[in-house]
Order: sequence, then structure tokens, then C-alpha cells
Amino acid sequence: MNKKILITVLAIALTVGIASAAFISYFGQVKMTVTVGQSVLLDGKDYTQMPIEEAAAVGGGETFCKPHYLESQASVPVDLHFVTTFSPALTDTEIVVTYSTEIIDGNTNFGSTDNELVAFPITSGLTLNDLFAGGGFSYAYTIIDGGAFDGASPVIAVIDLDDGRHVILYPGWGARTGAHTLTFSDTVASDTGGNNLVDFTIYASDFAGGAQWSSNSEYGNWNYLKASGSSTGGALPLTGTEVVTRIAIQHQAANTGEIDRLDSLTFNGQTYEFEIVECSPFTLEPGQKLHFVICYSFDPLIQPDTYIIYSTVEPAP
Amino acid sequence: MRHRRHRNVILVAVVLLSALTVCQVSAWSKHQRRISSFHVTKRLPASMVAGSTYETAFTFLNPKQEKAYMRIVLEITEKDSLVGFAEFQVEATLHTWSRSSRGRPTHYCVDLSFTEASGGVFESRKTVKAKSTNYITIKICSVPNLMPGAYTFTLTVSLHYEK
Repeated sequence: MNKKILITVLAIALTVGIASAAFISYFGQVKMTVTVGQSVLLDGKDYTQMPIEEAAAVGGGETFCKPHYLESQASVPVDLHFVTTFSPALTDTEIVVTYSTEIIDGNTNFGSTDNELVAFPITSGLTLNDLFAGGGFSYAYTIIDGGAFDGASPVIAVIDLDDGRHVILYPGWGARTGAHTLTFSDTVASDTGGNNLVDFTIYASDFAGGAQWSSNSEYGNWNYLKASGSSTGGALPLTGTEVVTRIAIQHQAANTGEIDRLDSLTFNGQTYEFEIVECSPFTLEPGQKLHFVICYSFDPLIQPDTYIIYSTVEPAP
Repeated sequence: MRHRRHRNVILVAVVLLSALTVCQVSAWSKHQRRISSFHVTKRLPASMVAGSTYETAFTFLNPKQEKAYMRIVLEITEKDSLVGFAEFQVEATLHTWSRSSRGRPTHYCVDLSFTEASGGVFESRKTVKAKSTNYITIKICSVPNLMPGAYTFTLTVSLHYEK
């Protein structure tokens, strides 16, 4: 009996062995190690540098806003939300946090920080003559953070032309605070803020040569051809029939810390109001850089103190 | 007499099994044999961003004169954390160049579908023609909220034969 079992086991082993021997295979293998980074940066920082920390000495009833930007490095849309905490801790009734951005013509903008462009694409075939007709063009803005102007020219406008050239409008400024409207014609710049507008210069440039005035991350170095003198401005050094493709507004680095909110842009008889939109979570399209503002409104009854604010961006659940 | 016959049967069986073991070792060494023509033509970049798609590609020649059952396994691991289910999506395309029975060169292209067997382990099966040259591109996409870290992608291609 035992021998029969032994023979059966041997027979099974033989069968399995022969069957498995029938499968001869080849293989190829590769191993790759990759460092995966975060898909979205907050103010240029990834999760290893978060949370972003801000200190604010506040009494009851105060509201202040801080500009930030999100930048997507992903190739798919990303939904994000913020986690904001306070130390000393505050309850939901003691502080209201809002997240806002601005939209004009479907384009999202917010804030104009030092050396950063806020741009408005123009697709209507507007010419330079159109732009400066009827009293020129203007944009209104409000200083939301950073205090008063510190002495250098804080804002310039760059008009991009479809032939690749640019017109740089460079007004000089005295001290100013609060909301303003800055108006350009082809010879004069004015300001409704009641402050001194001491200089106005128009430059036309293809950035191919000339003196270097400043630098900008988008345009590279500002090489310019000075077309008019100081104090009184001058006529446009162009025919006026050039088509405008974009108006961009930028701060100079000298005005460190000032943050403006652009309220409206007026040209060719039409005013484009910026719509301030509260949004959270944010949806970022691939490669999008989104400027926005977080506003903190403290309840009048809170204990005056220095509060530390911690902000972290996370993928929305 | 009968006792001796049984002993002979057992002896023969043991000899056969021993011979088979030798063959199996030989077969196993063949199993371990790498596809000599296996070559990675495009590696993943050293750094990637979550929520983006990256591509790797490799090529190989079917080493035998018969149809092969190809199995591709992509295993993604992270040294400090477990890879969750559906944190990655994998797509692939197979290009095959071979010769028809009349000796004419033929080329065809098919999409390979991957199933995620467990978190970060993807598998795809397909047959490849005898003596064919095969080029496979694999697209790997991660979810935007993938935990940043050092990920290892181990890609194994195995060819199995019936005969």
C-alpha cells in the first residue's frame, strides 16, 4: 500500500516537473528612481517650506489682506484649498478669512507686487491712436498693503504692439496713499489722487539695444530708446496705427512692499471693472500662476495681540 | 521477485526525477536569462512633478522563433510610504515590426491596457509575434496630491513560451 502511494507521488512529481519544464521564459528589467515634487507651489514654496508664516499685531475690528500666488506645475487641473491657523488660537467667530481673486475678460489677475506684471490681453484690434483718443487711457487702483510710496516711480505701463515692439509709459510720482486713477494721453500723464506727478516719459523699444534701465522676468532687460524728455512728456515716437495686443502694468522694485489692487482699466471709451471673486477651493489649470489675496477680518472683541498666521495649501478633498 | 520489480520501478522513477531536476535547473537558468536585446531607450527624468505625465520607452527582440506571451509588470514604491491604489495611471503602446509569411515587413501598433493589481503594481499581458522587434512606450501619470518623495519604478518584461 505504501509503495503504491510512493509510486503515485513520484508519478505526480514527474508530471508536474515535465509540465513546468515546458515553460522557459526570458525577461528584461529596469529600475529607475525618481524624485517627485509637489504639483503646486505657494509663493514659490513647496510643502517642505510650509506653512507660510506671517505675524500681525492687531486690535479688535481690524481687517488686513496679504497677497499670495499659486503656481501649478502639473499637467492636469488641480483643486486646492487652504488650511489657515492662528496662534494664539482664534475661533470662527473671532476671525473671518476670505480668499479672493480678480477677473477681467475671463483673465485672472490680482495684485501687482514689485517687479511683477499684471497684464490685460487686448484682442479687439485697438490701435495706439485709438488707445490715446478721447483723453487717453487710465487705470484705477487701490493700495492694499505696503503703505505709501517711498520716492521712486512705483508704476509703469507697457503697451505691447503686434509688430513686437513695446511702448513704455513711465510716470514719476510724489507721495500718495489710497485709491488713484492714473491717466495717460500721448503727451501728458495725470493722477486723480491729488499728489504730485512730477515726470512723464514715453519710451518705445524693441529691446534690441539702447541703454538698460531695469530688469523684468518677462521682458528681460529693459533696453530702451528714449523718445521724449522729462517734465512735459512728449509725442509718441510711433505712427499711432500700430495694433495693441496687451497692456501690462508693473511696479518698480524701488517701491518695496507696496501691493496694489487694480480696480478698473478704461480705454477707447469703455471701462473694464475688475470683479473681485471670493473663491476656495481654487482650481488651477496646468501651468497657471494665480494671484490672489487672503483677507483676515478680526472680530472687534478679540484680545489685541500679535497673531501668527500659518497658511498651508493642500489638494482639495 | 515482485518485490524486486517494485524496487526497479522506484529506481527508474528516482533516476527520471534526478534527470528532470537537472533539466529543471537548466530550464531555470534559462528562465533567469535576460532578453539580450532589451534596451531602455527613454528613461524617466530624475525629478518629476505630481500631477504630470512622464514617459519611458524600451525595445526588445523576441528571441525565439515562436509567439511569446508577454507580461509587463510595473511596480512603483516609495521608501517612506505606501503607494495608494489609483495614485498612478499607466498607459502603454506597443509597436511591433515583424515579417509576414511571405517575408514582407509588417508593422502594427496596439494600446496596452494595465490593471492595478495592488497599490502601485500594474500589470499588462499581450502576445508578441515570433522574431519580432518590439518598441513599447509607457506613460505614467500621478495624481496631483501625490505625496512628494523618492519613488522607485521597477519595470519587468517577461516572455513566456508554450513549447
